[in-house]
Amino acid sequence: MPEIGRLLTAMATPFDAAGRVDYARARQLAEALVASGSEGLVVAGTTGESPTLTRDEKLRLFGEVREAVGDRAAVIAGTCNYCTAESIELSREAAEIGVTGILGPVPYYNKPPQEGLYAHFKAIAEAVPLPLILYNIPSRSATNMVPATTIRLSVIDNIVGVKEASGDLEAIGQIIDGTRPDFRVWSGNDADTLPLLAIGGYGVISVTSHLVGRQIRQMIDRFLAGDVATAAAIHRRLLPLTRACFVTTSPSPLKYALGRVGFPVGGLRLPLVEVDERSAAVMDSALAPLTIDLPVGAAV
Amino acid sequence: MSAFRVAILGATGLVGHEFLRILEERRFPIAELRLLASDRSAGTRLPFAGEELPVESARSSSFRGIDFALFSAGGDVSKALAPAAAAAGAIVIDNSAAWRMDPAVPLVVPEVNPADAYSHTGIIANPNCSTIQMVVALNPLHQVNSLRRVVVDTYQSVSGTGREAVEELELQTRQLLAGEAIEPRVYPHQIAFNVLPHIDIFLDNGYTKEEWKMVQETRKIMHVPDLPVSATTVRVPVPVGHSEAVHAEFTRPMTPAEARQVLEHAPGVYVIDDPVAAHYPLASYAAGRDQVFVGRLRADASHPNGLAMWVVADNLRKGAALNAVQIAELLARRHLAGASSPVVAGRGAAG
Repeated sequence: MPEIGRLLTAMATPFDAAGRVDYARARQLAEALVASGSEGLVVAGTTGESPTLTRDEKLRLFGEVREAVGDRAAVIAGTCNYCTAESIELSREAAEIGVTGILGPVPYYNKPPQEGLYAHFKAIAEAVPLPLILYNIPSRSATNMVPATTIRLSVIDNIVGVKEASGDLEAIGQIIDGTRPDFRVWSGNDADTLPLLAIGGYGVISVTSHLVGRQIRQMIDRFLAGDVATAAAIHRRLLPLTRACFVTTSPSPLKYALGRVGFPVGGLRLPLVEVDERSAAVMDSALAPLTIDLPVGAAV
Repeated sequence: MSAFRVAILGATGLVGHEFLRILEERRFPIAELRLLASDRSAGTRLPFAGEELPVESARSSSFRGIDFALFSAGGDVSKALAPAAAAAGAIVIDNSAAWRMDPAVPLVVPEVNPADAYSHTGIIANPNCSTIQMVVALNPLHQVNSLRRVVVDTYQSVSGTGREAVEELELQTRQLLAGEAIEPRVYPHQIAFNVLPHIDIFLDNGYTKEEWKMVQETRKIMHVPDLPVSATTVRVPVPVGHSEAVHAEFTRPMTPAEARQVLEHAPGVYVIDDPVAAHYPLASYAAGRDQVFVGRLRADASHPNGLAMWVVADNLRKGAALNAVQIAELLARRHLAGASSPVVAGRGAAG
């Protein structure tokens, strides 16, 4: 299995002033993320505003990011949605572009039962010759994928792990316990990363890593080296930023923050909107004491 | 080629140390790193990416096989070695003033005039620290509302003079607090608890060279050759971080709110502007950080189209080493994208 890495960034999609995808900026952002600690990038996930990107835009993004980072980072494509057939089709095309793997969120809105979730992911895994990372995010999907389902899916060869955003440490503990040792659990919530590592988790698919990637790497490294106190101190130091990134619907706060620290990536596509004043103020307070790891000042 | 051979000239100095830190932080793709210094400083070892690298004496032959040569060793050394390095095939990015106003040498701040870097003929000049931070802050505003005049007063930290100056500030401070006599060596007067309106030598028009650099370099970088600029550059007892009071006059009125909007989306800029809460850019905050910090945005009471602001940056990083590495990144990216070889065809030695 190709190395995917512990710290992945769910990458924002830059737009230009006219609202078109700014591919040049996306390449710069991808490089800047790799330079500041990301071992992998999730492209066109929810943080990348997948609901409002066209098929063609997603495919082009996968290619541009893959080219920009070369073999320095894994590229995980957000090719899956609530329709199994569409997910398979887009994933196959992404495979031809050379992405490292794909991310499959639990289908949202149509609320399949557990058996449907199982069949959905099994079908994608069997049809697409790529590593598949499951993504359980009940706050967005309305459906929670229970540990038993994740465990059943984990025996399928190319289902390599799960991004868990349920925040349910008991359930995640069951998953870790019931799956093979190299089935990886990535945190889907920045605030949960350290607790998850403590119970056997592997890493994080992060949003705040846009800004503090190196510090998150340090937190992970310190924990793995047994220096829990330092890891915990870093965790606490980064908590206000985590809260600020979700003070209103992500990625609005994130895009605001990127502009504030000198790496503008444009605005949001409707129905997402720019942050309101109150949320901006929360982000401003969170950013103030931090050193930003993202290399700024990159120009086209 | 996906990694580059980089030489640092002046590796043992303050800016040299920042070059090493920044290249490592930003994971510049390095195939080989050669550290060079004067005979006096050669022989030591410096840490980089977990290894200890030797510092060699700089010679004109030291640049064979080098792709990027980052220079921070003073104007004289640069005059002597930059042409040789360029002739050996390296792209020299020079932090000294030696080549800045040479018409054949691009003077580049990546957020402002990146394309100028592409027309180099072997040497690219890194602007003066005080100029860099000011144009990073002013250019985004200039793009929406043309500048008519700039007046700037600087409060420059002693690290701009080098390690000996930082040591002198420390020593004098301690001596004065202990009631001991001091003996200025680096500066013409006491620098601890003092403010010196004198950076570099004086010119016939009454300005210092440092002030005149700001005038000329701003015009060249922003491509506004007739822009009226006046500067007073002042040395203050601060170790790291240059602060500037900038008064800019635009073509039409610009409200602070408008300026803030523009600057909050400007590359390389971080706005800190909540004076009621005592939030404004500070040298102590900027030290170690990469952005240019802008605050105290207010309408200039002395001119209807004027804006006043406070601009602060780490003079060793964005004012020197970071800007130079960013220039190298521009060229590296272009090369890696296949646009051209980093070695521009048909150029000769620059001078």
